[in-house]
Amino acid sequence: MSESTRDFSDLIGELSSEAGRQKPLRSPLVRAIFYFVLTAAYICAVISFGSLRPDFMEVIGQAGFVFEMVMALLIWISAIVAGAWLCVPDMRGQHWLKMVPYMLTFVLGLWVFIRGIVEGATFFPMYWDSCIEHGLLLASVPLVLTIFMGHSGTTTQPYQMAIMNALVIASIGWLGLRMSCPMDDVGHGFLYQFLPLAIIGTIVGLLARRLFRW
Amino acid sequence: MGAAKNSEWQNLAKLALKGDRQAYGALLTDLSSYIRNVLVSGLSRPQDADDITQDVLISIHKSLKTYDPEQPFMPWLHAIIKFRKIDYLRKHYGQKADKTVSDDVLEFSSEFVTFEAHKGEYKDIEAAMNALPDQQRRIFEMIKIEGYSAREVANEMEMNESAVKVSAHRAMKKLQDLLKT
Repeated sequence: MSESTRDFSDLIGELSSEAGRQKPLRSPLVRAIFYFVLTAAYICAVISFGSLRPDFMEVIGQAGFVFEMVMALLIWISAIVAGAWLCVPDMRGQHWLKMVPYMLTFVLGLWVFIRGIVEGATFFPMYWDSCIEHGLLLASVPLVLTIFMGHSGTTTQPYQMAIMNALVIASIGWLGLRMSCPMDDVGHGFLYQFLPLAIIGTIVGLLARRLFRW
Repeated sequence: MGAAKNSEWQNLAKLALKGDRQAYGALLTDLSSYIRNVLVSGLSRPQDADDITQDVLISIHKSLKTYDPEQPFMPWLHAIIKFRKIDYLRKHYGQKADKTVSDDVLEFSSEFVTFEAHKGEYKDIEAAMNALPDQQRRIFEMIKIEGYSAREVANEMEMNESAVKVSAHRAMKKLQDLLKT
C-alpha cells in the first residue's frame, strides 16, 4: 500500500467516524426570504423611529423617484437571493442569478448618471453629515446578517458573495436614505449616501476570503 | 461512468446525510480516487494532486449539509474540486513553492526532464544555460527561476519590458533546442 493511499484511508476513516445525521441547509429561497424579512423589519424599524422626509408624500408621486426606489428594492432582493444560492458550492446550477443584481445596478447607475448630467450634481465639501450616520445605522445590522448568511454556507465564490453583500447594504442604504433625506442632489447622494457604503462594501470584498472561509 | 456514478454517489450522499457511516466511508473512498484522477491531469506534480484531494475530502465533509440529494451530485462535487484546486495553487504560487524543488527528489527529474536521455542529468541543463549569452541567461534566470516579473527585470537591467520578454522567450527556445539535440 503506497503512502498516499494509506493517508487517504486514515483521513477517510477519521471523517467517517465523525459522520452523523446532518441537518441539511434550508433551501436557498427559504433562506433568502428569511434574511430579507429580517433586514426589511430592521429597516422599517429604523425608518419609523427616525423620520420620513417631509416631502415624502409629494415625491412618491414622481415617476423618477419611484423608479429609483423600485430599482434599489430589486437590487436588494436579487442580491440577497443570489447570496443565498452562492452559499451552495455549485449554486444548484442557478449561476444566472448572479447576473441579475449586476444588471439592475448598471441600470440604476446609468439612471443616476443621466440624472446627474441633466439636473447637475453638486459635490459639497465632505463633512460628517447626518446621512452618513443614518446610512451606517441602516446598513450595520443588514451587513452583519448578510455576512452571517454567507458564512453559514460553503461558498466556492467568496468574492461574488462579498459583492452581493455589498450590493445588499448599498441598496438598503440608498433606499433608506432616499426615504429619509430630503436632498435629491446626485452629488449629495453620491458623497453621503453611496460612498460610505461603497467603502464598507470594498472592505468586505477585501476580507472576502477570510470572511467566507470554510 | 457519468450517469451511473452520479446516481450511485447521490444515493450514498443521501445515506451519509442520514448518518450512515458505512455509506459515507464508501462514498469518500470512491471519491478519493475519482478526485485524484480529475486533478492529476491538470497539475505538474502528482504530490499536489494528493494534497488537493485531501483538501477536497475535508471540504466535502464540511459542506455535505449543503448538498441536496434531489440534485445531481457531480456539479456540486466539481465546484468543490475547482475551488480547492484554485485555493491550493494560489497558496502554492504565493509561497513560490514551485521554485523550491530539491535536486534530491528523483521523481522531479523523471517528471520534468522531457528528453529521456537526459533524465536526472542536471549538468546538461547547466551546460545549456552556460551556452546562452550572459545577458540572456541572467534574464532567463531572473524570470523563470527567481520569479521576477518582466517589468522588474526591465527596471533592474535598464531595458525595455518588451525586449526582456523577447529575450526570455528566445532563451527558452534556445534551451529547448540545445536540450533536444
